[in-house]
Amino acid sequence: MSKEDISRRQFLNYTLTGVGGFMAAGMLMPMVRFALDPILKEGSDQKMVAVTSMEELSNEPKRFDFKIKQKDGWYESDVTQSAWVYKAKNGDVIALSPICKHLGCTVDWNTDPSHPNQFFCPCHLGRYTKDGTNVKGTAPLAPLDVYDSKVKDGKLYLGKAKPRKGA
Amino acid sequence: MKWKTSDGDVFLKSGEYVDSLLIPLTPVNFKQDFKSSVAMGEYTELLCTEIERQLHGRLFLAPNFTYVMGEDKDIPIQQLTSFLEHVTNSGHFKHIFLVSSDVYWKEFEHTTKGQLIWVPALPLESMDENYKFEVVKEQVKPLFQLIFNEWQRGINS
Repeated sequence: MSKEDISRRQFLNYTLTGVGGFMAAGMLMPMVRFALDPILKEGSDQKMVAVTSMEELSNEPKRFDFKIKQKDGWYESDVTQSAWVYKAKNGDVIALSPICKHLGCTVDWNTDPSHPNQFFCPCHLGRYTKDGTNVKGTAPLAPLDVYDSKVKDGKLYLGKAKPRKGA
Repeated sequence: MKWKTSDGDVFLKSGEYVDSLLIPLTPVNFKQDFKSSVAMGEYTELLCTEIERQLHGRLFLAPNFTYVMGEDKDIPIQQLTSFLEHVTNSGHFKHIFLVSSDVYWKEFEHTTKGQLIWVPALPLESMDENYKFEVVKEQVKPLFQLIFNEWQRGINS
């Protein structure tokens, strides 16, 4: 390759376009990133949290408490959540939200002596059967929410509690 | 229910189901015993948050009732009395629970309206987060029993 292949003018042209290109890219990239940011952001509510190992589960509902991060305006805080978890007859893991569908108290398992093996809400005497269905004639009008759950490496992960259709 | 507008709306709509008020009595003193007043406030706040979380539908968590600790002995009880006067006159609450770690209130246990839940503050600052959580969970359990008993008495009487 001889020196005459590229003229001074051409060389300057190339370098200027090159440098200009970098500068333009440097300015545009963050803008594009900003514009796309909401799409790239992972949905914060889809995060699953490890709650317990599978060995601790049985057919009897057991309560587990875990913490999630909650954003309340600018204030980010750890919020405690609970779940009633048990294994169904076919081996599926059922994780029910303990939040009563009436006004939001925390329901307890098997604490009402006159109605054994039911979830019981101490606030307004609401009751739910083991699968979370509300007992007709008691305060709540919908079944307990069910957590999205996932089993990985012998650990149970819970996601968001999802409402179900009323009974 | 918390002191929030969203919960306030629920309260306005289904107020007849919410018959209990939980008031944390929070001592403040910047001159002396400052640290212990902070510790008491922190501890009662944790307890109250946990109680509110579990009894959300029937119990309203009032904003902290703050008072100057250890100076004039008559003022806090006077203020609380007139506050409780307002609460009972509003007709919303059948059960009032007062939570405090300040031994000052013990003296008025039987004379104030409402049930005083006096709990000595635990040194939470030396505990790690998970342990603190477990401790509060255990501490709260007997308090639930106390609240349930009070509710039960309301039904029977």
